[in-house]
Amino acid sequence: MNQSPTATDTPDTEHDGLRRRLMAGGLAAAALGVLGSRTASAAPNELSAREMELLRFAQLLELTARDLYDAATAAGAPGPLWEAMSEQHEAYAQAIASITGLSATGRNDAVYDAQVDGFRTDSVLAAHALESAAAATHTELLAHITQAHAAEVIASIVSSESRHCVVLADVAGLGTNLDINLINSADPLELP
Amino acid sequence: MIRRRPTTDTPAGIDRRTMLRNGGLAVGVGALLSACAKNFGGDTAPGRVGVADEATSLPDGEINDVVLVRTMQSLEHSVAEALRLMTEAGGYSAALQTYVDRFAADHAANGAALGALAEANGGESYACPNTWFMSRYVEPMYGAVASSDDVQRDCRAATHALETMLAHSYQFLVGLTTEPEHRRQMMLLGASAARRSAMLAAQASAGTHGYLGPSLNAEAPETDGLGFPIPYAVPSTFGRVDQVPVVVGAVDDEGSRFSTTLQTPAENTFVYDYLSC
Repeated sequence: MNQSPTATDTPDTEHDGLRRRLMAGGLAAAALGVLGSRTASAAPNELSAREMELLRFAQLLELTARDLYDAATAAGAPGPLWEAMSEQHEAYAQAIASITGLSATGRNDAVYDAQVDGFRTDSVLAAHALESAAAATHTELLAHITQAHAAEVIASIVSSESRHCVVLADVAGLGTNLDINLINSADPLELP
Repeated sequence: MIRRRPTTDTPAGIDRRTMLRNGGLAVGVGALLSACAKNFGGDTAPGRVGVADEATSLPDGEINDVVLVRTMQSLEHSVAEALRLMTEAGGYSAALQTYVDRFAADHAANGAALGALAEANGGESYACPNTWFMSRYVEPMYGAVASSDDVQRDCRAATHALETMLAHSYQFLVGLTTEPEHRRQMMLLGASAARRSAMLAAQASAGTHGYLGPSLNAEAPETDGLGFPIPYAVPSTFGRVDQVPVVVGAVDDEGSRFSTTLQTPAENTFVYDYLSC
């Protein structure tokens, strides 16, 4: 059975060359489309060097809080609540690690050294001051973070640390003091 | 010599070639006539049954930072209105009324701050309760509270739920807000809402159930013996954005109480630019 020759059977004519060039052009356009779409979707998710620096600062602050709660526990502070607080700050540091790729290790030695004696002697008030400062610092950080997901993570930490402040005020016997509970009068730490 | 096919003595039928030629001609002429025909008017829309008013579609609403700010402003006013209703119903103990008065003042101040933020960004302040939120949540909840077997128990629970909803909403909208400074300003208020929620929870249940919720303390129950959700000052490791359960009101004939879940704002709750009050 004979069939009329198809385009693939024909020699490499001028027409066929044009077709091939069009196909190649289409592939190039498709490749550009893929690259373009990747660029478009990746842009909002990229963290600038400045944002990475700020998030690392926040991460170190969380690791410092963890170490301070651990120091208070080692010095005899009541166990379960302090252990829970330590674990939560560790989780915050890990969450920042997940969005930055920065390992959750180290701490802010300046903050730790300034606070550790307070945590060992009067841990409740020292912890309240630290949580207040951390919440204020992270709130300030939001003004410098453009990536939505990173902002969501930081906002969730702000929310939780604000709740920590209320718990610590209650443990300190100040649970009915409206100003202490409802107003965060702490200044944010100076951002790097 | 060319031999022709005889034509005169064949029956008067239509062969395939003729049918194709004539059929194509008929379609072509029909298309031409149709194109040249006059438009005699008349309604070409599908017919309607009944006399109901025509449905009107809403304008397309753009979701931007101003809309989100106005939405939170409306929710602050909604919670303030709910607290006012419950105060008028005598729903708070003297001690709790002190808190609620402060909360109400904070909501008014927050609403004003958000209105100023909307105006500073080219929008219009929306100093009113959120219509959708009021009709879906506050009004039915208040109806159940007002006829409850324990009004003060229910007003405390409803107030905690509303403050928690605000905290969740602020945090949730951070992800939708585009301008970082707006996120910061929203979370300043979100942190305050989280504090109010935690304070109510600590005062209500920390003595019995502790501060940490079930996800942090395996011994912490979700509900009490009567099925009411137990509030916790720290319900989870991270701040939450999920719905907030509320159970209030008297037991009905079927043995259940009014229950609902307060939700963070969505497209049907947003206060779009074209809305005003």
